[in-house]
Parts: sequence; C-alpha cells; structure tokens
Amino acid sequence: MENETMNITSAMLQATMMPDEEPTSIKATIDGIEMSVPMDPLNRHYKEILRQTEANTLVIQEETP
Amino acid sequence: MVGYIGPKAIQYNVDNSVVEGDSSIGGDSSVGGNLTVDGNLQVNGSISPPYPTVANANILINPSFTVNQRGDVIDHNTESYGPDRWRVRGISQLGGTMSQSSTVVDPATGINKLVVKHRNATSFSYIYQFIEAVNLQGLYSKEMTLSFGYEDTGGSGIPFVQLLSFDSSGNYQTLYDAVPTSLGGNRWACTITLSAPNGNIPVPSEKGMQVLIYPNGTNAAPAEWSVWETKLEVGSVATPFIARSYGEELLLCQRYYQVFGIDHVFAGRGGSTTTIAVSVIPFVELRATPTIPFNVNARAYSISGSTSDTNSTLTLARYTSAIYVTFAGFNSVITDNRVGTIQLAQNMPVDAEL
Repeated sequence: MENETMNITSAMLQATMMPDEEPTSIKATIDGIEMSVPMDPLNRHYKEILRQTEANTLVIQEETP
Repeated sequence: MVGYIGPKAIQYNVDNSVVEGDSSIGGDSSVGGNLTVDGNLQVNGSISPPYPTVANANILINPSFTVNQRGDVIDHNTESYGPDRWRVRGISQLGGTMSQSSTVVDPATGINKLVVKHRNATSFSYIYQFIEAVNLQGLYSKEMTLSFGYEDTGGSGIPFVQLLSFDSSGNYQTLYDAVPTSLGGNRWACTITLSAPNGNIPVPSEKGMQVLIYPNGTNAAPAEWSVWETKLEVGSVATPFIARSYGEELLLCQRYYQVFGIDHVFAGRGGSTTTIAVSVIPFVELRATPTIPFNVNARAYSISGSTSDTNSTLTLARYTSAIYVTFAGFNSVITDNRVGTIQLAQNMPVDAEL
C-alpha cells in the first residue's frame, strides 16, 4: 500500500529569469492545482513526474519563451 | 523465613524460596537492604514503592494530531494530507460521498483524537505516515512496537495495521500485515523487527518506513473512526504515550510542510521591471527543495513607494535552507537590481513531504 495517487495532467519546463540558465523547475498540474515543482530528485512531485514520464503516461513539454 | 541471597550480603525475608543466580521470588517479599542481582530477576507482582515506567522516544511525528497546518477540517477527494504528516484515503478511492478528517479533544481525558468520517464508503480506508530514513538510523535489526488508540462507529471496533520498510531504490517490504494485539481500553499494539529489503538501507532523507492504520479490519470504511496517541518506539513493549510540546511538534512537522501566511513580507531585488527575486527562508530546514504554488496573489513595493498587485507567477531555484523564488507579473514597479519587497495576499505553502 505504498503508492499514493497523484493525478498529473500537464508538465512544462519553467524558464528561469536568468539568461542562459537551464530550467530548474516544472510547471505541473497535480490533482487539479498548478504547482511549481523543483527538479530535485528528493522532491516527491518531481519523482512522480519522472515515473509517469518513464511509463509514457506523461510528457514534459518544453518551456515557452 | 529470613535468609540471604547469593553471597549472603543482603538480608531478606521471603515466603518460600531460596534465590541464587537467575531467580524469581514467589509470594510477597521484601528486601530490607540493597538488592543486587547479577542474573535475571522476574517479578510477577507489583513493586512497592512503584518503580517509574520509562517512556521511550516516539519516532512518529505529530502522533497525537495536534498540528494541522492545512486546516482543522479537511475533505479528502483524493488521498491527501489531513493533520500534518498523516495522509487520509479519499472518496475517489473508497467510494461514497464523504471522506473528512478533523480532530476533537475528548472532554473526559483531554486526549486529542483524529476523527475520520465517511458516508456510504464501498471500500476500505486508512491513514498513514512515511518515516524519513534519517529518523531510523541505528534502529535496523531492532524490535519496534507500534501502539495506538482506536474506536469506530458502524464498524467492528477492530483496526488493521501494515508496517512497511523501504530500500535505497524505493522498493518496499511488508513487516506487519495483520490485526494488532488488543491491550484493552481500545488500545492496540504490534511488534516487528526493523529491516530494509535485501539489507539496502535508504539514504537518510528518503522514505524509511510507512505506518498504515486501517479501520474496521480491511472491510468497507465505517461511518466514523478515531485514532489517538500513536507511538512507534524501540523495543517489544508499548510504553506510555507522552506528548511532546506543541512548539516542538510544529517544528518537526515544518521540515516537511510550512505555510507563509497572508501579509508575510519578503525582501528582494528587481530582476526586470516586472519581477522581484526573493529568498524565502524556511522556519526549519526542509527535507528537500519544496513544491510551491505556480501562482500566488501578491503586492510588490519598490523603494520609491510605488506598488503593483498581481496574481504573480512563481519560479523557484533549488535550495532547501533558502528557497530562491522569482515573483513575476508586476506592472513596471521596479528596476533591475533595485531593492523591492513582496507582500503575500494569500497563503503560500511550501511542500517537502516524503
């Protein structure tokens, strides 16, 4: 019974405010709420985004300019 | 009869026994002087004057549900947090029209109880807490005991427990999966020996254990059930529950979740005419870089006194001791690298839960 349910309907890289800086967070809609999720391997939301991406049930969109 | 134990150093009286080595004394007994026992001493009766019972440390956080940063009453449409650190199954999983958690203080005892209510549930319910591995260091291969109070309305009055442990890859094994032992007085307990799957102990800031408590066995959730005074401790005996102070418990919870409230002010610098970057310093160091809302209503102030209100878009960078957040969307309120401040117009939670 380890798994929690997390309904992620969208994920998009967030551009930083600094030029030439790689994105460090993802804008994601999780359980109907828009969140800014850091790309930290310890963050539970980021781990779930990666899991769903690897399972081909979610695609991380490129950042919009 | 009057006699001596072992090396004849201590005078005692005893009804019917001679004691040497590992010993037990039958009947009512008294020892006039000091008593030294080199082996085991078993006492089946009471000790007078009463020997103080030592209460072990509790590994669970918010074990009596006193910290409720997300609100006093939570409706769980999906599995989600109720009291801090405790997740509750939602109606999308267990069916029916209600899954609601709240807390209530028992008027007779003062005990704070978690109350979970369901309506027409068709599946089982549960609450659970993940335990961070850092809080289990040194405890592997040791016995651990979970104890808690439980009662329900419309159920069997019998809970069910699962205890899981995790390895370094996030895989888990089941350490306990059964009805716990009744201690009487609506109190229940079970004991396991802690081990990680294949001996692979997880990294300190990852999941180490999961403690799940189900109401009504694993049958459909009852209309209402309560849990109180949960305790996970080292050893095979459930020792008395003693709550930590509220402030101490709040700080423990804030490693995983904090709320910066309305009117909180952050100092920062302009990143452009429409953005201000600030350092959000958590009250205690977070377990991981937290998830934050994508939008928060906020007001920006410039050093010249101009202001701008907006539903600001937040972008964060990766830190745990200080979260570097850029608030964007203001109306030409500040200039590059000039000092500015942000005042929140709504709560801003930061979430670093397991």
